[in-house]
Amino acid sequence: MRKFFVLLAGMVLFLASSLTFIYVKGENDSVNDLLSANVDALADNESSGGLDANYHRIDSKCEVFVSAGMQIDIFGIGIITAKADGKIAIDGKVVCQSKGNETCRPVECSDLYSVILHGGER
Amino acid sequence: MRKFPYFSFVLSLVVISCVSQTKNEPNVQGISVDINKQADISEFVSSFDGYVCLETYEECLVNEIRKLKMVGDTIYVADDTKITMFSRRDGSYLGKIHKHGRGPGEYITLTDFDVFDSRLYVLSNVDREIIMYNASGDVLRIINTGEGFSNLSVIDEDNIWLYSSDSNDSMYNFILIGPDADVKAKYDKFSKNQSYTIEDITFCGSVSDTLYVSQYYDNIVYSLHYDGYVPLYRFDMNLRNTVSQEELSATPLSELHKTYKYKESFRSIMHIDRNRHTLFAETWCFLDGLALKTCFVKADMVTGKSHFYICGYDVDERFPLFDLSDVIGYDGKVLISYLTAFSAKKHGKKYKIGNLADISEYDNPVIVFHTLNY
Repeated sequence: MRKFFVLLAGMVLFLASSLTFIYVKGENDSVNDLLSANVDALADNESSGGLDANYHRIDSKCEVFVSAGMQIDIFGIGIITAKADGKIAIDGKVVCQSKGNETCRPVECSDLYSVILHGGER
Repeated sequence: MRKFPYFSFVLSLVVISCVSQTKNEPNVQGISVDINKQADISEFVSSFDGYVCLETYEECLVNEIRKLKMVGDTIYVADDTKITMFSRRDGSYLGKIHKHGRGPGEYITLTDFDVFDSRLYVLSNVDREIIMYNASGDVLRIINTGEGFSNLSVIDEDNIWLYSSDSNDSMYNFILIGPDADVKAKYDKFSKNQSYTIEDITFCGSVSDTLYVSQYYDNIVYSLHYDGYVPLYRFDMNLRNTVSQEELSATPLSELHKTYKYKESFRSIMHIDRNRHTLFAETWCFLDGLALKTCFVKADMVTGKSHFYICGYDVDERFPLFDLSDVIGYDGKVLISYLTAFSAKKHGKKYKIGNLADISEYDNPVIVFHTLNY
C-alpha cells in the first residue's frame, strides 16, 4: 500500500513538472515570438529605410531675456555674458511639420540652454 | 607708337576685369563693412516717434509677434494661429482673422501673410493654399498652390510671388502666380527638395513692382521682377567665417546650418531700402560672444563708406527702446519694433518713458516707432 502511494506521488510530481515545463516553454515561445516579431519589424524598417520621413523641418531662433551682467550657458556655444539688458537670441528650435519628405525631431528652446549661473540686476 | 605697349597693357587689364566681373556677379555692388567699428546711434536713428500699447482683452490676446505689417492706419500682427488688427493711432483692437483649423476656409498653419487693398492673403504651407479674406474674415478666394511654400509677397490682385526655400517639388525658389495659380515666371532653380526651412524674411524690400529678395546665409540681395532675377548688392563683412557663393550653391541649407550654426557668420538680410545714394540694410549676424544680433548697415553707394551698428550691444540712453526692442517691420523710413509688456514696463520705469511703467506686464506687446536717418 505504501509503495502505491509513493508511486502515485511520483506520478503526480512527474505530471506537475511536465505541465509546468510545457507552460513555461509556451510562455517562452510566445515571448520569443514577440521578440522576433519586433526584431523583424525593426529590421524591416532599417532595411527599407522605413523611418517616418514625412516631415518638413523648420529651424527658428530662441530668445532668452537677460539683464546686464547675466551669464547663460548655451549648449554648443558656451557661456555668454549679457553686456546690456535685452535678449540673447540663438538658433536651434526645430518644429516638425507634415507633408515633407524628411525625418525630423522637434527641439524646444528650453533644451538649448541650461543654467543661469549668475544673476545680474533683475 | 612708344605708348602702344602701355596702352595695350591697360586695355588688357580692363578686358580681364570686365570678363571676371561678368563671370561672377555682373553689376553687383559690393559694400564693405567693418564689424569692429560700432557707429554712433545718431547715424541710424533721427527720432523716437513714440509707442502704441496694443489693446488687451481676451478676444485679442497676441501670443507672440511672428510678423507685423502696417498698412495705412492699421497694424496687422500675426502670431502662430491668427492675424489681429489694431489701430496705429491708439492701439485699439479692430478685428482678427482666426481661422485655424481643418474646415473650409481654414488653415492648418499660418505660414506667412500679406495685405493688399485691405484684403489679407494667408499662406499655409501644409494646406498648400493661399486663402484671401476680407477684414471681417470672410473668405473671398482660395488659391491652390499645389506645393508648399514658406513666404509670399502680394504685388497686386493678379500677381503673387512665392518662395519655396529649396523645399518643394516645383524645383524653383521664386514663382510668380496669378489668381488661378497660373505660373507666370519662375527663377532660381534647385535640384533637390530639402523639406527644410529656416524661418526668415525672404522678401526684404521693394521698389514699385520690383522686390528685393535674399536667402539665408547669402550675403547678396537680388532684385526680383517678372522679367528677371538679378544680383544687386553684396555685403562683405569681416566676420570670422564667410560662406562662399560656391559653398552656398553646392551645399544643402541643413548642412550649412550644421556647420555655421554657432559660428561667427553672416545670416540674412531682413530689410533693405535705398534712398538716392544711401543704402540702408537690416541684417542678421551671428557674432562671437553675442550670438544672433540685428546689425544695421548704412552705406554711401558713391563714396563706398559704410556704418555698422549692432542693435542691443549696449543701450544708448538717447534712444533706449531702439536697442531694447525687436525690429519687426518698416513703414517707409519708420522702423517698427516691439517689446513684451513685461520688458516695456521694466525699461519704461528705468528710462522714464511715457506711462510704460504703469502698464500690466501681462498686456499685449508694445509697438515702438523710430524714424531712421538715411
